[in-house]
Amino acid sequence: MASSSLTSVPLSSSSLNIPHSSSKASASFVSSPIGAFSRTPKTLFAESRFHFHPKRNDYGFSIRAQTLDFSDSFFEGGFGSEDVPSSPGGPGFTAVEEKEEPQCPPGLRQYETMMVLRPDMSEDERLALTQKYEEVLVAGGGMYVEVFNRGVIPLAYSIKKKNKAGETNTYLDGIYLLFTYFTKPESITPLEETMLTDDNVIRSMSSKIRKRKY
Amino acid sequence: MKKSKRLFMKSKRSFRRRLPLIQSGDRIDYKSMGLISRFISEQGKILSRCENRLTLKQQRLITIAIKQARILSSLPFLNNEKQFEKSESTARTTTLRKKNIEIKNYKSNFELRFE
Repeated sequence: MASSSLTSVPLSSSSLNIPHSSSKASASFVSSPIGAFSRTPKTLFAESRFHFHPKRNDYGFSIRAQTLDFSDSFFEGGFGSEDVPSSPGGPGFTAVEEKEEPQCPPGLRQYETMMVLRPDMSEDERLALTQKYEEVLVAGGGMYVEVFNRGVIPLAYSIKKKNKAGETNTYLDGIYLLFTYFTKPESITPLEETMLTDDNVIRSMSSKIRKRKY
Repeated sequence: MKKSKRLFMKSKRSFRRRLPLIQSGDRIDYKSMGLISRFISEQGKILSRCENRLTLKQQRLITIAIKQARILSSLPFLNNEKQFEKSESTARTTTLRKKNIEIKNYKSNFELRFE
């Protein structure tokens, strides 16, 4: 009885230690757990299992190993889930480039003037007219004068214009010019008077440029 | 049960959201003719805010832009489609005259037979 119990105890405690330990070491191990196992009632269960079903003990050991592997795989799965959200962690913001516009000088405001010229003017005459109005604007305190020529556009309705000489002409087309500039508010009135006086200008309109997104 | 479902579907369709006619980056100005010309009728009148589906601010800005464009002769104050209508009305009167002539011819035939 004593010998059978001694042989069963080390198997249940740790199967890996058996092949490494020597005879003396095994004797020392055997001596210490005898008291512990004698106190606890588990030794009785171990004895009963050893006698009746020796094969089932081997199956139990193998089952434990499989469970360990399963837990490892489950833990690795957890790591995998953690790695996935880390990749989109840093969103990139692309800076939108804005057009560079000249800053408004103090005391001035930005205006735009659209004027419709006679369609039968030649390019030289149109350039001379542009130069004339640029000088008028600069004389009135204007800065950063820009001119956009939109070409000859047919008018939506015909315009009758009386000449200084008393002649009346009906225009069906017009050359559209757009002036953009910074100037004092007081200099708009003389500019408009000049445009009204000019025979080459069919129609004109000046307005302040608003600084809103619409 | 089916009828109620159909009614529900119809009600869903009527609430569909449509794309706004003015995109976020567009600037409402009298120079942008492509944008402004969407909001006037064939006769050249400014469409109402309900038809345009615009906000109060957008409608106000568009109205100002259309009026400025009219001054510069980029848009018409009124379209001249009435002339075509007048010509059509004259055509109708000519057809009526033809019918009267046919009636007279019929009477003359009857008189000949009687004699």
